[in-house]
Amino acid sequence: MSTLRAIKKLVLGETWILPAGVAGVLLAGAVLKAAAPGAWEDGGGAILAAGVLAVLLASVVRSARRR
Amino acid sequence: MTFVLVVIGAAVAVSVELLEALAIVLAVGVSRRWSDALVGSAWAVAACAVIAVVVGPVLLASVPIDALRLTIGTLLLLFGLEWLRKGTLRLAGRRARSSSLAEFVEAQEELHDVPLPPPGTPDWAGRLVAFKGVLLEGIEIVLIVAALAARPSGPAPALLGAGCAAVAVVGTGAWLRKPLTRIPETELKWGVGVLLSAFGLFFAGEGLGVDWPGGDAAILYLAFLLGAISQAQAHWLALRPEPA
Repeated sequence: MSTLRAIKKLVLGETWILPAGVAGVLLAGAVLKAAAPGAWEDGGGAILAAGVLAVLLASVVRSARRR
Repeated sequence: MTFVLVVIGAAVAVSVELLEALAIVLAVGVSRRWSDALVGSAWAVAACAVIAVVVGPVLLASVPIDALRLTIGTLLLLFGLEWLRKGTLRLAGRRARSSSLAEFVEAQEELHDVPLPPPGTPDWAGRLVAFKGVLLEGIEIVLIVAALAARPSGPAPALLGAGCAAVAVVGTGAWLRKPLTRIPETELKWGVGVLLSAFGLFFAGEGLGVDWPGGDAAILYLAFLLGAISQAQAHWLALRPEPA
């Protein structure tokens, strides 16, 4: 059981913010792509980068508060 | 250019993971018996090889190209951001620095109270600790290398990087027979986090139909952006008082 728990931890990490945040950013990207394919092709990268950075910043702040 | 970046990314990521596995094997070998440490490690390497044979071809052969890019990107983002989160906290002094020596001591302590069986009898406790340590680090290596290898350009750069790392780390460990204490593991892991996150963001974007300005060079400015933001946050956190 402890090995399974460790494997789950190494894939999903120690906090749920990262997997949930990454899923949210990618899902939002898929929705925006479907809504405006042309604009997404040119500007989607900036939106994805901003989303991923926001997820990273939030996960670090939350982890720092919990310690 | 992507070829070189993938070689570097795979080599550094695999080196860091191998260092941790090596520390555990060395701890079992030094404090118990080398034969049992090597038997436990060999089982784990065989298990990882089976996982690699199953995961690699499945990713390469059965997933459509855009879905494959998105899957690779998501996997690398999950690994990379987790390493980057921990790295930022370590650089800010909010988490213990990463150390293979600590893993070495921890593995030795784990076996401290278990008596060593007489010569000629298998040391199952030692074998199990070596097996578990190598298996967990090995699975991480398999997932990272499989994700980097599943690029449309082929598995060569990821396998080359992983091969170089394996030769360098295992060779050094076999020669020294002690943990490599002078390696700045915290900074190395932070760098791996930046690289894997940049790869992940780039591949996930490609999978979602993003046309990155500059093509493959986007990996470089994404890595710079992630690194700069993480460093800034680490400095900001270091200046703030820790919660009581």
